[in-house]
Amino acid sequence: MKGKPAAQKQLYHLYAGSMLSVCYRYTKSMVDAEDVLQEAFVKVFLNLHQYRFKGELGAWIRRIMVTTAINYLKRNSRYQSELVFPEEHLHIASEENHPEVKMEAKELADLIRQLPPGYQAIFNLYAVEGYSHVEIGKILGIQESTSRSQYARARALLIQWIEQKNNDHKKAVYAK
Amino acid sequence: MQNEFEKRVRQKMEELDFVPSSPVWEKIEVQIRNKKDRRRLILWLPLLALLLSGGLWWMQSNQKVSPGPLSNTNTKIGTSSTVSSPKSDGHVNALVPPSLNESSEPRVPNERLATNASISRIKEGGGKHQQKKNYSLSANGFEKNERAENIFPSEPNEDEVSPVRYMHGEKINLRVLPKFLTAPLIQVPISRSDLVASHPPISSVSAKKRKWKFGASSAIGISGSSNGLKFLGGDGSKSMNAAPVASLPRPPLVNYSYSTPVEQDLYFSAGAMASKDLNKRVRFTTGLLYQFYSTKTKVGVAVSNALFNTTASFNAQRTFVNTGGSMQDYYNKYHFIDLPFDLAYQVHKKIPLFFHGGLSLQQLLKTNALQFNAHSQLYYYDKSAFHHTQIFSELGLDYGIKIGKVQLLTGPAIQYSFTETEKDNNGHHLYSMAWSAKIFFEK
Repeated sequence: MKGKPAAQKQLYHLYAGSMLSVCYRYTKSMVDAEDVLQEAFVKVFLNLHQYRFKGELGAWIRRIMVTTAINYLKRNSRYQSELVFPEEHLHIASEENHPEVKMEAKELADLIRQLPPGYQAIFNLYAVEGYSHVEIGKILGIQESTSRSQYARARALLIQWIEQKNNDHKKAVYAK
Repeated sequence: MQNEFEKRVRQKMEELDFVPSSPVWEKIEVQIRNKKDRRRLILWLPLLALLLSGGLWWMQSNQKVSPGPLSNTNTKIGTSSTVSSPKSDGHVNALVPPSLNESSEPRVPNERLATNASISRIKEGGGKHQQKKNYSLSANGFEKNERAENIFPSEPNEDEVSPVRYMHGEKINLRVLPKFLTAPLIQVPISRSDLVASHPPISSVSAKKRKWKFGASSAIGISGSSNGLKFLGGDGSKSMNAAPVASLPRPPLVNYSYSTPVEQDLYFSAGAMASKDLNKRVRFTTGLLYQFYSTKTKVGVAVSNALFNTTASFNAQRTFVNTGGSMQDYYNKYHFIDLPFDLAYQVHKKIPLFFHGGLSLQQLLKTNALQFNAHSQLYYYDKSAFHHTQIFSELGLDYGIKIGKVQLLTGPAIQYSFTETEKDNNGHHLYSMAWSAKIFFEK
C-alpha cells in the first residue's frame, strides 16, 4: 500500500465512516471530529508498515483514532480547561441503575457529547472502548480513583438525561 | 466492572456511522505526501552535509593568497633583535603577518607579542595625518586592531625602529615598542619548540603540518532498528513491530496477537582512525572500525526444527514461538566491519567545535538476529535474509581538546543505514546514537 494512492483511498473509504463516529464521540463538533479523523488517518498511512497483520486492522486503526482524539483534547485550548481532573474522591453512585436505551445511536452520542470533556473522555474510554480505570489513568495521566469517581459522575448524569428522554418519549406517545 | 448499561451503550455506538466530508481525504493525501517528502529529505541530509563540507573545502583550497611584493626576507628589527627567518636557522619572523609571509608559518607565540608589537599600514604618499590601519598580533593570529593606534605616539621616538614594507601599493610600517618594553621578548629566541607549547587552536595547523595523523576511535551508546527517522522523535525505545501508539495499553476487548516490540540496546564501536587536515577548517577522517549493534525483543520458547517442514522457504536454524507464558529476552546482535569516510568542518575558527558528516561502508560479519513469520507466528533465524553490505550515513558534533601532541575529539554522533537491514523490503534500518571519542597523535 506504500506509495499506492488508490489503495490508500480504498482503505480510507472502508473505515472513514465508523472511525468518524469514534472521533465524533470524543469531540464537541463535527469539524473537530473531522480534524481528528484527518490527523489519525495520516498517522495510519505513515505507520501502516508497523501493522503486522495480527489482530483486526479496524481495531488497530481505532486505537490510533482514540489516541489521536485524546491528544487532540489535551492539545486544544477549547477542551483543556475542562480536562482538569481534580483529585477528588466522590461517593461512587450505584451501578444498579440500568435504564433502557431506546433512543437512536446519534441521539445517544449527542448526549455523551454534552458531558463535560473530562467526563466525556472517561465515559468513552471505559464504557465504549472497554479500558479499565487503571489504563484510563495511564492514558489521561490521572489516578485510577479519579477516573473511577469521574466515571461514576458521568454515568449518573447520562442516566439522568436518558431517563428524562425516555419520559419525554413516553409522554409524546401518550399524547398521540 | 461493566454491566448492562455499558453493553447497551456500546451496542448503540457500534451502530453509529457518518460520512466524512470530501475535503478530508484531499487533506490527508496532501499531508501524507508532504511528510514523506520531508522524511526523504532528512534521510539525505548527511549526504548533503558531506557535499557541502566538500564544497567548502574545495572553495577554500582554491582561494589563492596573493603573496604581494613582501616575500619573506630576513628582517632585522632593532639592533638587539634575535628574530629571523625560519628558513635560515629555524627561528621565525615575529612581526610579519602570515598573510604577508606565507612561508614564515608556524607563527610565533602570539600571546607574548600581542601586547608588545603592532604594525601600521600607511597609504603611499600620505603625510603626517595619514589614515592608518593598525594591526596587532594576538593569540589568534594577525588581526586588525583599531585600538592599536592609540597605543603608539604618532611620531616615532628615538627608541622606535620603523622598517617600511609595501603591500599592494600600501606602505607597511613596522613598529616596535621602546627597547625597555620589548627587551624580554627580544632576548628570548623564538624556536619551533615554543610553538608546540603555545597551544594553538586545533584548526590553526599550517600547511606543513597537514599530514596524516593516526589514532584510535571508540563510541558507546544505543542502537535500534527503525523505519525512517522516527527514533529521533522521542519514542525510539520501541520500534519495528510496535504499534505506533505503543504507550497505549491494549483494550481488553480485542484479541491482539502482535509480535513483541523491538527495543533499543547496546551499541559500541572501536578501531583505528587516520585523519588529515584539508585546510584550516576542514578535516578528512577514515579508518577501519568494528561496529556492534544490538536490539532486544521477547520471544517464546524455542522449538525444534524437526517439528516444521524443512522445505519451508526459510532455512530455520533457531526458531521460537511468539506466544506463551514464558517469554524471554532475545538480543539481536549485528557485528560489522566499517570503512568510514568522514568530513569535519570547524563551525567557528575560534571554537574547536566540528560538525562532521559522512558515509561508511559496513560489511556484516555475523548476526543472530531473528526474523518474524506472521503466518506461522514464529521467530526464526535466517542468515540469508540480511543485506551483508550496507551503507550508513553519519552525522555528529565533536569538540576538540589538544593536550601536547595529542588531540582528543569527543561528542555525540548518529548513524543511520541507508540500506535496509533485511532483504524482504520491510523498511527496517539499523541506527545508532552514541557518544564518540577519537584520539589522534601528532608526530
